[in-house]
Amino acid sequence: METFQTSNEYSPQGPWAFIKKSLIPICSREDAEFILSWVALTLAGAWSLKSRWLDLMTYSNGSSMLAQDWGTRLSGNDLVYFIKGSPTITNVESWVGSVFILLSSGILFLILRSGWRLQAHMLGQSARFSPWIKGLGDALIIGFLPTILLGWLLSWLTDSLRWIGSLPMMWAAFVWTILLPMALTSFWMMQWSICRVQRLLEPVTSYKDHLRFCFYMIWKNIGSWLSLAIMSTALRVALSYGALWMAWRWGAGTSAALGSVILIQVGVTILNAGILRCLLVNVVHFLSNQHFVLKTVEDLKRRVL
Amino acid sequence: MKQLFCRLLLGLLPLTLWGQASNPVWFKAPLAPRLANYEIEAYVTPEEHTLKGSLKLTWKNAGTQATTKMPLHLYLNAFKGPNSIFMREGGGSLRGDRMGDENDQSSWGYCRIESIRLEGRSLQGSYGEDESVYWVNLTRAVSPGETVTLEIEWVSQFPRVFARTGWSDGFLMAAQWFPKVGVYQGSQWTCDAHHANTEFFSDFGTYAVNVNVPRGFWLAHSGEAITYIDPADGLKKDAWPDPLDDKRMIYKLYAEDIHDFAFAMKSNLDWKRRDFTYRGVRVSLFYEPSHHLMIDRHVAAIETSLRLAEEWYFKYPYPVLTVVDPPANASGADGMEYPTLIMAGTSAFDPFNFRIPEVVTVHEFGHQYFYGMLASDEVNEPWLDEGFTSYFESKVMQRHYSGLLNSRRFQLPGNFSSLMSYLMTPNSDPLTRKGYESATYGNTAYTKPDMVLQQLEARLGHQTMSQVMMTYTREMAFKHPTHLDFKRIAERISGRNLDSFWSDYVMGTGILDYQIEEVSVLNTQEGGWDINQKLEAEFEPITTLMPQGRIKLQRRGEIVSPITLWVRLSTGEERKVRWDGKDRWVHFDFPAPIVQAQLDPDFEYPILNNRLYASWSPKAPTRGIAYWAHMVMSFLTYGLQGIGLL
Repeated sequence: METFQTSNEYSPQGPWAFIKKSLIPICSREDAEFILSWVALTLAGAWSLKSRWLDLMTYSNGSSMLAQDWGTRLSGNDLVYFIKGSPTITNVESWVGSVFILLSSGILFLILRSGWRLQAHMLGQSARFSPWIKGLGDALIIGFLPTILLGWLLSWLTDSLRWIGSLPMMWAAFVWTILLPMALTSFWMMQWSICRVQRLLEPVTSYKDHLRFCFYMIWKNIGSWLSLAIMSTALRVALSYGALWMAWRWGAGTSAALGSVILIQVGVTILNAGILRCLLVNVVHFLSNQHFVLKTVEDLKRRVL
Repeated sequence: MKQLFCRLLLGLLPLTLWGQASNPVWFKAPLAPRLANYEIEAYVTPEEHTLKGSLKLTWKNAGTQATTKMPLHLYLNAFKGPNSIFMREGGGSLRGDRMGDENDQSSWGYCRIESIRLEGRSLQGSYGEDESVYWVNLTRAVSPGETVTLEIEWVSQFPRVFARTGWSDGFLMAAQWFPKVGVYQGSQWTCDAHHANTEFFSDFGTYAVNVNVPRGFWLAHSGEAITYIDPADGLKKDAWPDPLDDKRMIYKLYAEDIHDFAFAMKSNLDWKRRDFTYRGVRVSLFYEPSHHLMIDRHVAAIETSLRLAEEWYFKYPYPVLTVVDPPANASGADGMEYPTLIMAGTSAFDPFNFRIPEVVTVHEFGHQYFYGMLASDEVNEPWLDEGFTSYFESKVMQRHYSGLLNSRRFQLPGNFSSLMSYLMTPNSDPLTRKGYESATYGNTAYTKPDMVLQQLEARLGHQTMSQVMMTYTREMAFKHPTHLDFKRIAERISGRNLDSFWSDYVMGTGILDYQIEEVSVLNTQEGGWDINQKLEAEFEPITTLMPQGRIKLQRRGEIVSPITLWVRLSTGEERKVRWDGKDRWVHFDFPAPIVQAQLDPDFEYPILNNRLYASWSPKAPTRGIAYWAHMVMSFLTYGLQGIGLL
């Protein structure tokens, strides 16, 4: 008589179980594309903004000297003079420039596409547009409202902290106010990721079953997914604000300081992109495991019957 | 039996003291002409949001002619319904605040006159422009110099707090709550209806006000509370027992040489209070328990304001000052001034250390001078109180706090909000425009005057301007100054004719706008045919000389003022030239190419409209721009990464 050993391999695992595996760097083309897209967004965006602002200051084969001390000190009055003085500034678009909008939108699309390519590549499939966009619709249908409700519940539970009157509590409430919406959006992004990957893994189920399965995948492990979303967001935000704080401290009094600021910011962008890559990979591992277990159970049933 | 007798005696003692209580004397000689003196009995029923009152108004005719009429402000009638001038003009909104649910009757308020009597005879009257002004027909003419006493009974129903006055949960702000006489000057009454934007105008006098409230309420009020020592516990108390109702108590308040009276009340169970004395002024600060983190900031702002106002103008003369930091759900009451009482405004937590609480407290304190003691007509010349106070606020914020925000890389100077508002609408209404006629009230009353006074300071010099302000405040305190009084004093102190300044900046709508339009290099040559004295033609070869620099300036605005141009030439030489600024365009030539240029380098014109193109350099200063572009882009990228864009 055959016996089955109970092992982790044959039991469905939560998302935390695959973190270690997801952290292993794979230097595939898709990985590089995903991370470099983020770097491109930072650098190209900053370049186009800088160019636009320089354009606005340029006149008569030269430039205004208004920005002479901006590397060390910027006054709100200078900004008013800048915004008021430039004859072309009438709205946000003219302020940031169409190049910035086009470039940033293009790179954002590239980031999303490369993330999707990365996941599809892991599953040995091509990154078709259809599951990606349909997965977005799925996530809106099954994930939007529950995420809003979850956010409302969490903010309601923590909002009272603000009125206690203790400074640490108020700081905690303030940080939470920033962190919570970000973490919940990240949580919803994972729902989208699950929906689209599921469409690749099992494209033939009925739509109702598909939605039910995707919803179940998140909410069965709600504690794990939520904690993963909150902790990874906290890590990304900490890195980001750390970089901004350092840049704030250093300023750009010299070209070396400016160079250091840019290097630090690019470094943090890469680290954050690495964390996001880890989440993308984690979703694939998680769903693959779920399918593996389900398939094993199905096989077992078939063999027993 | 003996104990019971003792208790009775102790219980009766306050009543005995009550009978003996006399008003304190603030000033040995009146500081102001006391033309409108009030003795008021007010009975507040908080749960109904009502106040029933009776007052004796002792009014002196300081005009030049007799009058047979007397107008009374009934400000609360502005909240009576949607057809008041106030509601029609403001549409139920003011200063970013919105009135309560208009279908709820408790959102509305009124002031109902029950009776008016003069020398025992009942008087009748009629409403003026709207029901916020009531013209009383006197039974006889009141001659110049004569004093009469009117006895008035009325009921005030407070609206849900909005536009400075009203109730909110357990909080009541009683402002503009009693019938108040207009101002009689010459042969003319000034008693405007309550308009949406504008404020008030009244005569000075004494106020003896008894406010009867339920036990357990604190009163934050104009004037001084008459206190007594409670024999029961030996403590000094400011709320007297009501001899007719042991569930109520009476605040007996008094003030001299002020022209309005207001109070706020709230249960002492959820209101905090801090008392301190600074430079001889007893300050009482009332605040929400959750706002306790902000209180030290309020205290510092009050102390700074008292100190700097004394240094710049004159010592705050009143013995008391009360500051109220109202609850969050009564924001319609915050940021307002009454004589010896200011309404501050804050939040429980301020993570970025913006100086908003300080700005509000300093601004409202400034009104103790520009409105409180220099009692200009706030309806017809609102810039004299709001504008001068904004100027005071900007200077305090810059001098004491180094601006509104003073972080490592980014600063908001003290005049940031005024400059921003002014530059966005530089050609707003003349400052002298009546408040309710102005389409640009906020700019015309607050920010443009601040910039105009800064411009005047730049014109006259800091020392002279300081003397002007000190003289103006001292000479016009406890009077009703107009802008002509200020001009007269400024001209006298500075020894300069300010007619053109007044026509340009005070009465005018033009802007001061000069810019560098073009900088170029002139390649000059010499040679060619030369006809000498013998009429012989001689050809000299064409040679190129050292290039010259040329700069073209443009006057874009209507205001004409001489302006300085500074240039640095390629030779390293620096030059300054003065342009009379009259023509629309002018150009200046220099012996070498220009490498840097700046218009108004000494900041003679804080009000200059365009500083972006008031400077020029052949090379753009890219590093700072690159830094901020990277900061902004990193912030956006990190935001997208923060939300986990996958």
